[in-house]
Amino acid sequence: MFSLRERIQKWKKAHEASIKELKFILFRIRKSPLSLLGTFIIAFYIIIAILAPILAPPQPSWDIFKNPNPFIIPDAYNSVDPTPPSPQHPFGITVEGYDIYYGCIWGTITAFRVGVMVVALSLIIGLAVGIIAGYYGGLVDEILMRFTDIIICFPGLILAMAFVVALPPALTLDAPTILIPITVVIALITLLQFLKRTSKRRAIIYLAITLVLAVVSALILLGIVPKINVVQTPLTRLDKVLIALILVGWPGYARVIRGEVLRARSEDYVEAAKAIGASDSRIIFKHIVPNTIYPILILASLDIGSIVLTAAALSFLGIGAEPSYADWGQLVQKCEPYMLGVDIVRYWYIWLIPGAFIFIFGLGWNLLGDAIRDVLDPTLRRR
Amino acid sequence: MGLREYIIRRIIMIIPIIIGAVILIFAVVQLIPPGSRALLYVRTERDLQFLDQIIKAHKLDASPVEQFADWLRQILEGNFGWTRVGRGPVLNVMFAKWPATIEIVMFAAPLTIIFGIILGVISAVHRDKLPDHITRLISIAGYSLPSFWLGLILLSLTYVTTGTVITGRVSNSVQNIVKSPAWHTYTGLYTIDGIINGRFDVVLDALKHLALPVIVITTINMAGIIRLMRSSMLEALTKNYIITAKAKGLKNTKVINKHARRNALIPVVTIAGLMVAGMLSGLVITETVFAFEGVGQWAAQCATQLDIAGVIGFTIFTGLLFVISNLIVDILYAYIDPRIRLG
Amino acid sequence: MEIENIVDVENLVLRFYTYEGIVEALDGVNLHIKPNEILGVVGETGCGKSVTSLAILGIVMPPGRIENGKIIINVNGKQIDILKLHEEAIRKIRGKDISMVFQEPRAYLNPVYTVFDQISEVLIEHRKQEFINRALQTLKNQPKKSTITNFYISIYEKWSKNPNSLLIRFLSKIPMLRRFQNPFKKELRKEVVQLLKSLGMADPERVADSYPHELSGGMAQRVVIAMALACNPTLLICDEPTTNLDVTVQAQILELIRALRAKFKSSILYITHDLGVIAELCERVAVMYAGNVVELAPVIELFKNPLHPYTRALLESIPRPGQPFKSIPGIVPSLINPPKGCRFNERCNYAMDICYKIKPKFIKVKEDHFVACHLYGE
Repeated sequence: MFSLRERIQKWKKAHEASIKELKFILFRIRKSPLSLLGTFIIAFYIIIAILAPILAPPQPSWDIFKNPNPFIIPDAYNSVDPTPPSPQHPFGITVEGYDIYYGCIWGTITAFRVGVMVVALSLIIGLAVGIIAGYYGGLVDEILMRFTDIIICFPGLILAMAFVVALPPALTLDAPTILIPITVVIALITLLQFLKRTSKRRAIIYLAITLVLAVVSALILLGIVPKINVVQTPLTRLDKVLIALILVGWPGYARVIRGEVLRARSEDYVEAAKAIGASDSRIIFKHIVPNTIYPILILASLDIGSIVLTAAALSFLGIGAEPSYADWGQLVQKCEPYMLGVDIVRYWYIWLIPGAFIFIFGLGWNLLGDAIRDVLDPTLRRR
Repeated sequence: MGLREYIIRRIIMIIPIIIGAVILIFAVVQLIPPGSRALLYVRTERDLQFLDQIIKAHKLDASPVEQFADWLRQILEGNFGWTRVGRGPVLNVMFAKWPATIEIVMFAAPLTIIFGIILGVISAVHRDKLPDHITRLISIAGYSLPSFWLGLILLSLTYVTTGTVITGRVSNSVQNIVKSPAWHTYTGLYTIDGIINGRFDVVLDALKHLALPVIVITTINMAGIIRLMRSSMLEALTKNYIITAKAKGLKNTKVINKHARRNALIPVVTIAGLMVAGMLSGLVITETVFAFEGVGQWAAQCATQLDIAGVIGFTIFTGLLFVISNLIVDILYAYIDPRIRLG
Repeated sequence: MEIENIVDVENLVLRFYTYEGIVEALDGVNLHIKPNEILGVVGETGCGKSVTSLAILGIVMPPGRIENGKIIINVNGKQIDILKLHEEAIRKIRGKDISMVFQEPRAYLNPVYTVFDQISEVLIEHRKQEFINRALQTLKNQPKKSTITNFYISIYEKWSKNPNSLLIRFLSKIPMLRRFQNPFKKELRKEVVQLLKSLGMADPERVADSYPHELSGGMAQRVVIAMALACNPTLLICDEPTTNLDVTVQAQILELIRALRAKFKSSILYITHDLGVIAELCERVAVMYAGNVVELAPVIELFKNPLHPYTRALLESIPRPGQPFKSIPGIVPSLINPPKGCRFNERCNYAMDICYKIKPKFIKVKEDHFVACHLYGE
């Protein structure tokens, strides 16, 4: 019906305001030298990540046993002491014989993987919780916000530590573990139905389902009905870190979104949509979400820097990635035997170089993030 | 509403959160296999032999519901289990190590706040000019620095310049002084105790060892304060009463310092509470790097060696600390800004 | 003999340099205020009234810049161009010779300081010497002088000779020693309470110790007025002081302003968009549109004989019972790319060719009646 050009123009017109915003953001970024620096740093890391196989080719010949996983740093030499940088090993070798250069290059991909996955998944959970809490308000809001409060009341790194230490080596999804969350969710929906006063039939059906599930879960909890294992997947140490960081991270986003949704809910266009009889999900997705999430998406993606920093801290403590994994924090951890003595300076390359990678990565994201935060803050703009 | 009603209201609101947090910790504990979980119930060193009986006694392989009341009772009695790392009951070990950590916070917290406020004001007043860019670079670099990396750099620098590696709370010679019977421990803080005992060499030595960890903690946490102070100042400077102040003929510095700054400081007070969390987290790493015998180092070792009792005990305690500090901050906020009490 | 005008604004040009473009906020504004008169400035939102008044005080909020023009004020018998003055010198005038009352009083008062703090601030800034001397006098007049009193007298005599001495400033920062300021503060307090009383406050002591958010709109406005009048200014600028208040309170404030003018013999520049207030309060009135003063005349003359088409349209649009509403067709032009020639040309019923090309000059058409319109050209 419409030609491609016409469709593009229509899209441009519909999103005129957002495009103007975007242009303004880009303008401010161009103007500030700090944010330009941040952008360059991030671009630099992206290039390294893409070119990793070329910059540090995984060489099965290095290892006695053929190593299919490029993220496991190959053993070069089984040297007793760490070896300083040399032409073949530009960043040196650690005591078990891991090539630091290799670890740093492939560690870039690991960093992006950890950062992106944690931010994405925490965002998804946080958005879901926050939108529901903000839009429906009342009791639902109270309950959901208590959840976030409980998690927020612990310092981030420390709670993540607890999660990583406590998580079992394999994730077993057995009957109670699946049933209880499902029961809780359905109970909440039932609550919603009652609060919204939809058709009696619907509410009663939901209530019945909730009661059945609750009874079954109670039986299982009390140990009467035996647990049935449904799924079991092994968790690598890195997986545990990811899960821990996601669990610790989502409440922050949930709160922010909830605040925005609350604000948007009182705007006139929502009243108008309700007056025409638009359904709740329509109002949420077509009106409230587009008006609230863009700034939050941008700000959240800039959290990648601090997530990688936290993950590195966990690795440094020794509860992060496996000892042979290509991860920056993991590499720094290898200087642990030498930390209290003079050797710390002698074997500087073990901690200084991977640490520098971590620092500059975080610096890039934080520089850009600071500039964008400055732009998006409505009280400070337009100068 | 009045300050008193506000305080009571806030305290009441805390209770469900504490309950929920306890449940959360319990859920985390449930993830641990029963064999390790038994360590949470151990009271004395002798009990370590009888883990099987403990498992049976507390029904650790039965359903969670049965365990909850039991576990709760343990906690309320003050038994957080036994830490292999600290070689003692969790609670005792933690209390023994807290003074060291408090000593660092004692110096770092005021420095962070003072520097943060000063730099934040400078940054806001000279927005988008050179002082602003420099300050922002310093602050952003500050919190981008991995704390362990900064610590290691400082350690190396001190070695390169002075020839010694400064780790621990006091050097070996002073360690003997502190352990000798002539020394009276009052607070557990070497700086204060040193003054009371009249041994200024101890005080100096302690300060020497405190310097680097304090620098690390201050640098990293300063950034948050700077950024908040900056945006808070910028917002205050757009307010209308600034125009009034100018129209009265006041000097520009007075306008900034007297009118804008006091209003801008109000939100910064709230972040002081969050700063506590940041410092606690940062201390875990920093104390490890400097081998500083505080709670943070102990917690890090517990994590590395999978000492469940230690990790869980530490988590509960820091959570409690954080909740209380936020409560205090909320009350302080209501005290400073009379408008808050109305809501 | 020509009586010197208190303020003479000649051809004031002010621009705001924003991301969206250059806003030509003021495009050659011409105004003058005579001694001891109330001049009203009326115009729609965005026509530049507030910006002009702030400019008279020498306050230009960035990203604005004054590009051209003169603002000549007549203070203490001297004529000075504000735009050429140093910041230091302007500060001495602000709050003392020219002061301002703002629109939303509670937004313009600092929420963390009491009323007494904020009013005494002006007194300390401009009349410090006077109050030091008063305190000194009170101390000397005490029949029984304790040692402390004598000590204070010696301090105050030193202070009186050098109000800004570093020693005194240093001492005032030390918590315990600060007490020496108490006699000084007592004098300030007497003056503040007196000022509040003269503004019709029922309980001036209590108001002085209140915070701005504890006051009602009317009371807060009186506080702002008190602050402005504290140093007996020659010119008082009022920027829509009653717009956000109830009508009854508005009447009180207007009455107050009239009484104060009579008592202090100051001139008043009263900005509003309410023609009714103009008719009731002002002697002369300036009509502003889109960054220009288009007409300036005595009030009665303006209402009887409006010359500029905009003024005419304004007066016609005043709602009259029994008659249909009349509005001015069109909208105010954007000031970023203002129309060439006269800015009212799009909406003017009498627009001629020249109105689209050349900007009309501000000229005297009759005695004390000025217009900027090509209808009354050379």
